[in-house]
Amino acid sequence: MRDHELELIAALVEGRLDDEAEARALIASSPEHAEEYAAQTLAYQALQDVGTASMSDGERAALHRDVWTALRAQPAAKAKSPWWYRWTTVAAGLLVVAGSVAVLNQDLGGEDSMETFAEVSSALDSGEGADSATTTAAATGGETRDGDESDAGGGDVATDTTTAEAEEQPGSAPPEPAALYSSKAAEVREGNFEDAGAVPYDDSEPVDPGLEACVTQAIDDAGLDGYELLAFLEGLRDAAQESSTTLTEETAELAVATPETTDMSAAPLAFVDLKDCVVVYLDE
Amino acid sequence: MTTAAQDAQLLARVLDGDHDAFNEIMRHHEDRVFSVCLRIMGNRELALDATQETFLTAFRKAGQFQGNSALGTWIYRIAVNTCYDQLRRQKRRRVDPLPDHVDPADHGAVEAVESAGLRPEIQRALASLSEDYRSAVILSDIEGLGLPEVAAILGIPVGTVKSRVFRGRRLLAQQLGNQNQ
Repeated sequence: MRDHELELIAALVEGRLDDEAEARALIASSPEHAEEYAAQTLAYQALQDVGTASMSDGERAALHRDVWTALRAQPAAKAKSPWWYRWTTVAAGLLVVAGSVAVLNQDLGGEDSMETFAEVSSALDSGEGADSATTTAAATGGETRDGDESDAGGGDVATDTTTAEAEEQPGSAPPEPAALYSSKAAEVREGNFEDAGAVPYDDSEPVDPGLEACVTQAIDDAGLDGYELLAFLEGLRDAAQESSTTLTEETAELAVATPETTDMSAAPLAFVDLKDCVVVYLDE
Repeated sequence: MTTAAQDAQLLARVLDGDHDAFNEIMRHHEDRVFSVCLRIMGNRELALDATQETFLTAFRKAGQFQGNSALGTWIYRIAVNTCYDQLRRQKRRRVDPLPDHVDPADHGAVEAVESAGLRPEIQRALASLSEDYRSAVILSDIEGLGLPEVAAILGIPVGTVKSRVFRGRRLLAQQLGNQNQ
């Protein structure tokens, strides 16, 4: 049956036609069309009888009470700054670094310029320039995403993670966010959750329902079918051991999701920024 | 003032910490969110949980609403996603073996029907549809939303909504026919 025929029959069933002659003729033209009309009518009328549902007063009161109880523990999401604002910040940071290098080079003279540049770079890597290093990492993190404006917030996570790594290894250059995610993905695939700084997701354990919904939303927005929450990353282990309270967005920064029915050793992994609910990296 | 302008104003108040504004949004949309969740989940208690989670998510993500669709459309989309997420989690939890004398399918269906207030055969038929067909049929034929709004909620083209609704009805009719035999 052609699409427009089916649409005509459905329109007749729904009572949307001013002139039903064409539709009636179509139905009379073959048993297949008559059968389709009967099926559409049966289902449509059964569904019309269902009608919308509403909550009882008690259910409504309980809903409001429970929502506000949960909301008291979490602030509303702040409006995201536009993408150009964030890039302006990145650009300003780079400009400051470039300007500082230029001024130092000028002060110290021509033949020492290469050495001076190396010293400045070294100083930046070892702490004084942590902000600049982080900014660069954030910019690189932006390139790993799809370029969708709504995904831009993920750069913050890449920034935080990179800075944390830099603090753990003073003097060494921080890894690129993509490399960092990739190494964590490798650990997760091998089941080394602890080494990856990850807490496996267990839906029998108390977890802020907003976190689960956040991951679902990010996965849906990214068009990743069949992905399910696998683990939370960063800052969770200690928090989970210290108390038995529900995990919240303050303790979880990233989540990892993977398709439900895959061999873990080769599973694609999606990294979700839990502040902005966006997929920031896909490791395939 | 247009609905879109009202939505934007309400959300701006929510982001400023105005609880009354969020209450207003909840009051405006909670019945439909609950109704959609009830038809998808087939159980009042689960539907209430999903409704609660929907509004928590909407509150958390209020800053991300960009006004590309109506606020209601955005909230119903969260609701549909939340419901299916909860159903998937429920499915994963059902790993404990049931006693031999209980038919798992019947047990679940009876429980769902009792609390959903639906004719049993319709709830069973709805539950037999895949997620894609079920959500399209529920939003279009039970909630009475227009095809463009259903398309916006589900994030698919209008043509795909039509196709899912028509095919969903056909499958539903088959199920209803089988149950009557």
